[in-house]
Amino acid sequence: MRLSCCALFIVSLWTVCKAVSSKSTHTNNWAVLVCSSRYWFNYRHVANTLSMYRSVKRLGIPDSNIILMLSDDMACNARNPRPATVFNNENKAINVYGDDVEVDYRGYEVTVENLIRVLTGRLDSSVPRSKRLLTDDRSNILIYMTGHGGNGFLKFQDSQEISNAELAAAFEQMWQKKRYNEILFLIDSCQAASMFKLFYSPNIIASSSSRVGEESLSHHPDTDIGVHIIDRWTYYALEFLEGVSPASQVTMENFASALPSDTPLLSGAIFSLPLLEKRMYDPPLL
Amino acid sequence: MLRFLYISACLVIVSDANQDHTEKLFIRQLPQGRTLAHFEFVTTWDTHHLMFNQAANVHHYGLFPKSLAEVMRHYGTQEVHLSLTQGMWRSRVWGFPPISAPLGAELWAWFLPGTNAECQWKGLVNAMSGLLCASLNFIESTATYQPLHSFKPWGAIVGNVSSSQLLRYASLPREAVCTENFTPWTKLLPCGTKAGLGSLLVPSVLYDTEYHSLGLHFTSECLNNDCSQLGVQLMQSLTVVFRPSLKTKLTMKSLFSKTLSSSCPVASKSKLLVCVTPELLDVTTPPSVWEEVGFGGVVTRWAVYDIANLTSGGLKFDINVHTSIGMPWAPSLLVHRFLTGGKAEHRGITTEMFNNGRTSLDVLYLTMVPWFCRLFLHTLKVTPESSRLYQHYTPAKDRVRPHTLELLIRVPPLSTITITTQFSPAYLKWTEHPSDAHHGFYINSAVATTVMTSCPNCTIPSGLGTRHREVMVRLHTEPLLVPLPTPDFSMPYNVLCFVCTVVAIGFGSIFNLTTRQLVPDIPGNKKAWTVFGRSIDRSIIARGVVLIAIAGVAAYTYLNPE
Repeated sequence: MRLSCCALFIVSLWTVCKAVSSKSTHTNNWAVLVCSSRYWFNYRHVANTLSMYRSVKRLGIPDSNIILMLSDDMACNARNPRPATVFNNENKAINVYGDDVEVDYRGYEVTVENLIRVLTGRLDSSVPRSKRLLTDDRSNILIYMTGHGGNGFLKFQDSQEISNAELAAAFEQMWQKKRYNEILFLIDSCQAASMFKLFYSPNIIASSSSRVGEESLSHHPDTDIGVHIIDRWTYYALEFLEGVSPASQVTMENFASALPSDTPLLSGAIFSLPLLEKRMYDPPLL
Repeated sequence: MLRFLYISACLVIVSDANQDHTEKLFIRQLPQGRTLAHFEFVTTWDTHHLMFNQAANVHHYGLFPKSLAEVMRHYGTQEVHLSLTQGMWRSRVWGFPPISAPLGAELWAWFLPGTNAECQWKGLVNAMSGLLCASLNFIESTATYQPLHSFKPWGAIVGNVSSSQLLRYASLPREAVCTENFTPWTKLLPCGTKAGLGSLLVPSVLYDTEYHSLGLHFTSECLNNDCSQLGVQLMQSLTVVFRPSLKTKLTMKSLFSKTLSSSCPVASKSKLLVCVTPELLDVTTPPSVWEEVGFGGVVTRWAVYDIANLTSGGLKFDINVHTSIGMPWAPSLLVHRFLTGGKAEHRGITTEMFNNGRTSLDVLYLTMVPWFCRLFLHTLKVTPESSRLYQHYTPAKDRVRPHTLELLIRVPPLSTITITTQFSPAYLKWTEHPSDAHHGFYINSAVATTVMTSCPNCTIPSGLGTRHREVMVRLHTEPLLVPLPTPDFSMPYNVLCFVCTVVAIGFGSIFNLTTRQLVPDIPGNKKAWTVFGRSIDRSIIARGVVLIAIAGVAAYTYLNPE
């Protein structure tokens, strides 16, 4: 009896030591998906964001760990010939809006102030849990932003701008407050590379759809809906993500090679850090 | 002994209290080939959420949704009504809606006495916005109303009902309603969209309709005659008006794109009711029972199908549609409201009330106007003046609270009453405009409430199998869209460029010309500095620096006026 207790104690001590000495600093995944454009003719930005939302949900991040921000309502817009649907391809194979969608920030709520508050965690006490980014120092966060941008800024709802300096400061605040382990920052807009130029916090990999001085272009229009419905960078990124399952062993290098610069992307997809070969089992891809 | 009593008391609270769930679907033909479908999912619980003992930490929620009950308990709410609507209910053609709702979002609540209703209201709107993915957090004091007579509670309330201290009402006509609101609403149902009547709910079909209204009604109910015991009831309603169908035969598949193949196992009653009044409809599948319902002094006949006793093949029913169905009577009450005055400085709101019935109606009319539409009370006119029985007005305070005007109007039979009032739009600060400022600003729907002894235009009876003598009818008018004068948002940038240019070039040059002193250039003059290969007098450089400093301060002051 005493011998078996001893043995049990030694075994449990050994497993605890093993766990403590393991190098993993990553336990949970979060995603913040932001569409910053308003108005019907920016349908493609909402379709971009919803497509990323679908992929991220499919690959295992639950709604409770996703903050989805859509600046305008496209699905039930009066101009939409197919109500309650948003498509990202002319063949209308997938309704990316779907039957099970939870949008946390919608319409006028998508502002620069709210985005910074969500990232840094400085929210009023009345803000409900579903609108908070409850990350810790072991969270890997995917931050995807899309909209109209320029050299050093991203436009919000045609009336505000977020600058690259503000974003860099927000990320540094997150680092200081131990709110992330690693961040994968994806941005699909014109001159998107300027947005991560000023990042100075560690453990951030950023990828953009175009270089400074270049525009990101949309992929194709839909003659039935009447507007362009997906952007080029997101289209190729989704093509890649469609082949990824939760058990895949794909790496960042695979992702980078799936986004070909210049042809046929027509802009430069660049990464901010040297490519690291790591296992990609869930977005974020580290 | 005491410990035994305490434990048994805890057990009584903790033990599986009686929770019951029933679901009903009413289908009725409306004129011009439209079909009305009204879902009612009712969950009752014979324990009152506010009476949960602090000592008992465990509450078995079972069928009643935990997320909602906890929000209600945390914010001390006795009664909450939320509706999310898309489309317009056409009273003139369709009659009265089952539950009237304005466009967009409408939220009203009664709170517990002794609590800070303002704080609770703010917490409640934020919690509901997170729960139902709606931007209800935009409800602030400027959008909150406390009507004195309208919106009395539906259920049992603790507190003084004659004052509006515990009541808060708000409406957001701009709120979009789509699947993202529908998804969390279905998650509150015990069977969700997996079984029973909930399985008929497909968003892409429900949102491609003429009128769609989601409702959430949380009330407290008396369980016995002296109301010493209270329970709670949650009613989730969904009212849909489908577009006219080109087919002559209406089936479940043609309406909902799905057939009913299972019943909700936790529902004690699950019924489908099809209205066969007027008798122009043929129902080909025989119902479980035919029921005659008296409601509002009118008897209608319904074919009732008991879903719980479904056959394994699924329920299919057919009805033949006759598209030339008209209303037997013009609706007894109609309210129509519109803006007048165009873009002139004195604009107006005009309301017309039509009584097409043979009895006089006393209508309680509630007008809610935001603070930036400065209402002039002295211009309020009711035609004829004898119809105005009572008036209560709460004036607005800029950026604090809006205008509330309640009138009791007696509308004689077969007549029209006109209420007009004028307002003047205010100038908002440029930071108060939303992103799409040129869209305009909304004035909430006005609410007309009346009690009728005879309601032939009521579409759905609220209680099946009972005979009601009087019916409370509530109608919402159209919301109004007011274009306010908007500033040119690019002007600050333009002014900055212009002023800086003028200061830098114009003023600098003039200053130099008027103050320049010509000094002969003697070689070896130690006082001269070399700038860009030319020697310039030190005093001129000093003046240049001063000018740049002034320009910088002016630009800074312009950008930060406070």
